[in-house]
Amino acid sequence: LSEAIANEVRRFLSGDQAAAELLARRACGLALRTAGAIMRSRADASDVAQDVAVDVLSSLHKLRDADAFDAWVHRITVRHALRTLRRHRAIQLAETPLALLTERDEPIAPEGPDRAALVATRSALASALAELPPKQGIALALRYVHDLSDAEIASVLGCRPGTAHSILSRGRAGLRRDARMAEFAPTTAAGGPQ
Amino acid sequence: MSTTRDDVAMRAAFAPARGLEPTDAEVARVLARARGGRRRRFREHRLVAAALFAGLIVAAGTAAATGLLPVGSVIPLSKNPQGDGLTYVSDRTVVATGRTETAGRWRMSVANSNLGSCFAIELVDQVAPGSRGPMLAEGCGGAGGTFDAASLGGGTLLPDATLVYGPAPEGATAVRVTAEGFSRTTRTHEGPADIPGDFYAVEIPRKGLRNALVKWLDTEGHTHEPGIYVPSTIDYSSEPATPDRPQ
Repeated sequence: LSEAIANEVRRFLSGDQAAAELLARRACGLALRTAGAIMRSRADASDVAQDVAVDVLSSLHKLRDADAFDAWVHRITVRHALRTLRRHRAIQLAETPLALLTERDEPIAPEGPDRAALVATRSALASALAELPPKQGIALALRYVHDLSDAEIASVLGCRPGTAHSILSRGRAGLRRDARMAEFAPTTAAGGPQ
Repeated sequence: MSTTRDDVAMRAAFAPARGLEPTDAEVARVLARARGGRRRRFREHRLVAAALFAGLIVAAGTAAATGLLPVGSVIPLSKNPQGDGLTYVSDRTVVATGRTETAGRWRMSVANSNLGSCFAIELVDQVAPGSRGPMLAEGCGGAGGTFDAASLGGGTLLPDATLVYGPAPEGATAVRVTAEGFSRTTRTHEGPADIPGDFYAVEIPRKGLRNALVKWLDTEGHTHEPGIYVPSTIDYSSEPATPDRPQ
């Protein structure tokens, strides 16, 4: 897949506008999943994702290594997400129950018991993440949504791997302390060490 | 990267975000903005509130005429304002008109665009701040004949009221908004013969309604689940709801 994306990047940079849609979808999707994990609604996540994708397309000529497209997207996502989270906190947005927003947003799963569970999960996570420093939330999203390693997260955040490791540890500890996340505490998780 | 028990738990918590995919409309807006080199998402002037259908909020300028054109009237394509990334591809058809206590007269209309079906409501008695036109909100991307809900209210024009509105299925005869200690039911409006579905608008107090839910009722008076929570413009901060009083 990464090779296919790299080829699309090369096509785009050589002036083939047909590659733009695939890259826009890829960038929008990556950013949406990161932002969707840490924003309080899909609408907020969508705003961030669109801003990210527009920035990615307009600045793609600066990307030296076509294989690094995803990392490029993640870096831009971090910038936009941090800015948005800080702005939201600065103006102390009125609290809107996430369940309302989630119900109104596009379904994250088909109707049925599974969807109710997903909505509850997302609600608990978003509320708990809202209490964390923004960078910790983003680092956790990069790890558990995109499966990035400490080194990759460090590269995206612009810090050393040890620092990224520390940010992740503090983020996990913060979530564990939150009662809303009790269901996801390690002691109750399915499966054991792998 | 080793996987610990903690990782398993965390992955479970983040699983919903992994399934998020952008919609075609979102990608289309990205491409339109990237081509245009514009950073603004939508036209923002004259917008007072947002309609939310399929995640897209479009603030449109004043549409053609003010006043209550009768249902079925057609506003020519040339008089529809175009937004960033939004291009109308059809005339606009008035699908319903009515009046509520605080917001006054309203007019709903639909048009097709490059982003899908667009659904607009104009409060023709409310002049939008900074403009000479009526308050207008529009959302694009929904499908005709389905049930949806958006809300409009707050600000200086409607500080105490929220207008809940949207399309309803053809078989709907009424919609009901409920919250703790509150219930209000209003009849739906039949659209033109060539436009699928019905339409509704119901005014509710802006303050004090937590978890307000809107559902549609069929000809037998049965409510249809699951309903839609009234989005965003309600102020959750204070007073209790007013008693039940059907419109």
